[in-house]
Amino acid sequence: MITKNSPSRPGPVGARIPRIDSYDKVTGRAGFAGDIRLPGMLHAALVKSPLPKGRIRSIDASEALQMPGVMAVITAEDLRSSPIECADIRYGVVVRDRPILAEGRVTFHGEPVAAVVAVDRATARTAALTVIVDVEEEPAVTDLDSALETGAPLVHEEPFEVEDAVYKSPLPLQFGESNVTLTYVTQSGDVEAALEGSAKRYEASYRFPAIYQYAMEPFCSVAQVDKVGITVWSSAQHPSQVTRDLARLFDVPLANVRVVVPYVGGGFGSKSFTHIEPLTVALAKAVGRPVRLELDISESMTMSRRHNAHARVRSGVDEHGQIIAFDIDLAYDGGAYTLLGPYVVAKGAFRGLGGYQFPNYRATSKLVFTNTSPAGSMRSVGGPQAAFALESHLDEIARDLGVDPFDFRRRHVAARGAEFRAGFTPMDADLHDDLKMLEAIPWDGDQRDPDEHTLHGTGVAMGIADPGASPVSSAVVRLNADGSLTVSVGSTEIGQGVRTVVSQIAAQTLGVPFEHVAVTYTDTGYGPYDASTGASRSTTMSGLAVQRAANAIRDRVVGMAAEAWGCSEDAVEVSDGVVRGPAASEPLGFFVGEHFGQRGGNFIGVGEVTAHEFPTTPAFWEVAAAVADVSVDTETGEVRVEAYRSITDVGRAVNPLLMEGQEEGAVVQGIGHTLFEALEWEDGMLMNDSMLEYRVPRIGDIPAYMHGALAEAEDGPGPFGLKGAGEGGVIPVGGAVANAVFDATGARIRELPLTPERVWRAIREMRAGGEEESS
Amino acid sequence: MKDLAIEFTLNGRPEAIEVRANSLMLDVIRDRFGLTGAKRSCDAQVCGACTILKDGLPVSACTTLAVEMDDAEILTIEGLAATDGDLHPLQRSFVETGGLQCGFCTPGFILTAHALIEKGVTSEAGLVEGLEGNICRCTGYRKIIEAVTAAAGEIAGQRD
Repeated sequence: MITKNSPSRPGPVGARIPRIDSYDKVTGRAGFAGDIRLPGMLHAALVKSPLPKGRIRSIDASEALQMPGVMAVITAEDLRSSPIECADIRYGVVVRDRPILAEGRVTFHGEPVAAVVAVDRATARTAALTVIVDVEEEPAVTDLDSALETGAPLVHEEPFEVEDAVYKSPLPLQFGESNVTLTYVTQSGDVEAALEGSAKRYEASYRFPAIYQYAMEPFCSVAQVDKVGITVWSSAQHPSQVTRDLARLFDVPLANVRVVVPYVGGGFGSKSFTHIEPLTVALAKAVGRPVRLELDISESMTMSRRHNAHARVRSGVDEHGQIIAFDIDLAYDGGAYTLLGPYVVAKGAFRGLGGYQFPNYRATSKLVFTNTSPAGSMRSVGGPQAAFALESHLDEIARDLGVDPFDFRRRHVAARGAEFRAGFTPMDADLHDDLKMLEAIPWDGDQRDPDEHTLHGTGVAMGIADPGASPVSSAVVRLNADGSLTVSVGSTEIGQGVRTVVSQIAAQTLGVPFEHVAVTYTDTGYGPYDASTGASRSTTMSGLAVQRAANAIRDRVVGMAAEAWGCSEDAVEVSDGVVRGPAASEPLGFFVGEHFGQRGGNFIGVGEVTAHEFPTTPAFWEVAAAVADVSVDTETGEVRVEAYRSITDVGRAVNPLLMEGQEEGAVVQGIGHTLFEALEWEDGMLMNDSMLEYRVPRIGDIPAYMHGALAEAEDGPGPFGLKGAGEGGVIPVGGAVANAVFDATGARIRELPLTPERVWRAIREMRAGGEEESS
Repeated sequence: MKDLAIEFTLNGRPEAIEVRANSLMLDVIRDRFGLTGAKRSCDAQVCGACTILKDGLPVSACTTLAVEMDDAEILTIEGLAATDGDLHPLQRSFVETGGLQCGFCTPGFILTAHALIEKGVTSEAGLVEGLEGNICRCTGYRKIIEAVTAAAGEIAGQRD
């Protein structure tokens, strides 16, 4: 049994329920951080570094300070003194290396050096342009290759303090010796000896570009500071982490920091962790009034990005064509600051090995500093980079051996229960069945007439990830006197639909109509703690906490009913908002009134998920696989994905409508980094820093045929057997499309994106090479 | 800088205000009228998040001067639903098909699609071509295409 098309129990879980925020979002009523207006609020703008590296000699703000409407210009020198009084000016999720404003030295072009506060945004931004930042240029390393060279200039020379509240680095970080901060290795067997003993060996290198997440809502933060504490409205994915950073940087108790997250206009990892919130708070303290800092898109691009990466793969097969040695060596460009880097490279190592059981393997994954904008997290951190290399390489071997790509993968995937990564959770999915389901998805082929310069091809790829980071969540469910429920979680609504999904879980657990459940906004001042919103974890971890909170209420009500009716608890059932015993029934809310002695009050149920519950990681393996069908115009090099068939193993889809949306969105983001997107620097300066030059998929770019199947074996650790999802779908896209391009043209392209120029050149070179060989 | 007097219709109501010559339509609509459904994103007429209809045609309010509203009929997302709160068929279609996620691009998509349908564009190919200037980063567009084609069919059916 690998799929269930009908819900195994009636109720909201499994139903295609429209999002609860739909009405507000289609009418323009939904409020985002950028829509917040406070009385007396001022506006801020950034002054940025003109160079990728150097010592700051002086900052001249005299002209700005003369301009009407300008209230203040703040530099790093002002941060520790009154009235700002920072206890520390550096922060970071793994290492405290990122300064609120560059102090002494700049490390990338565009780094915030100073900030202007003025009566409106236009004045602040105009004034910021007049601030003269004099930087004494120092040698910089602005690309991965030169950063790795012996004797390369160092991006950072001094060590930084470690931050290990949520993310403890898997290994100690190295500063001051080279630009490699961390080298993560996972291995089993003896890969060198196995390579030596192979019947046939393969070796190839692959390159993946730096990607801008382009959450359409730019970064925006509004800060208000008073005697009671700090309040920040922000488009943050992880408000609890922002709260902790602000408490430490400004030396106030956690209880006095409140981070409110209205609707978030897309995240995709860009809004993970703390970005501009500390600066906004510092500015609000400096001027004694609320301050709003809204970045534009070119500034947002420098806050976070996906790591560009290089991979070298060596492999060996035995006489039966079975891989006996697999060695992948990854280097990730982390830019100027660490952010989630140590996790990105560690996860990249696993994602570069996929769900395959190789008898001898080694994945080496390096985090490298360069003088470019910092790389943070993006949908499946480290995953698409590593999987592009892995899945291209497997295709190269299968082609060389003349084996069907499905068969080749089936021969190598880990079986359910297999301990395929030493010390980590055994495989908890049926990859064979998932591949079978994928293969069975029909497509009647490209119906257009082929012409002589258009070629068609098909490619396969898988993506196996270790998601569900930081399994720590709390939830509060309140049963109101009328039987309705109020749910509070710390997970933020970034578009993935968490508020709808947790409503469904609460409604299902207590048998309450879905329409009688409300979810509060994310607010660390009032709501429960949640470690983060990302890594495909919300529905699993927050969902589990909500289910437990609802069960706590259920237990309380059932106990009261059994006592009142003189029956056993087993004889009491709760459904449709009614509590039923052998001889009596009452509405759910009745027991609230009974307890308090008035028709008022509420029962508060608390649910928790702790890291102790998951002794091995990951909490589950996220599984995705795909088949891409492409057409390639050999005269222009243009690639179109005509059809995309995929499978996602979700355990159980709480809301298939939303789940399909997550999957389709992930696939099209993958098509972006596969065909179009790449951040390009020249001498450390970002060349395509606007949406005019950075090209993301548009509505006409998507495959005419898309079909995403969901595997629902109810075998996940979340409520109702669900597993998290939403990230996995992005992982196989690059491999599947590049393999399809090879199938169509015979050209193996080992670098993304597959731009028309790159594809055209590859076809030309291949044809020229073929002619040379035949002549 | 001199302020200029302009008169226009905003979501069916007459308005008369003074604006600076260099004020942008987006800032005036959002900050003077508190209509925040139009969003600032690319600042470059690429993404369509700031789309507002001027005399029935979509404009990028982020790069259009406020003075251009003079004598025009302006429709923002806030003016599309009926005054009793009943959704326009396009809005209802986006809700039912799941054509939105974070919701940041949604008002722009709905207004552009509204303009297309009002101009008689109802085919899927025509709607997709007309929506090339609207970017969505969340949905992967499939459910948006589903939403607009279903609504176009419904609206065309009502006219027949």
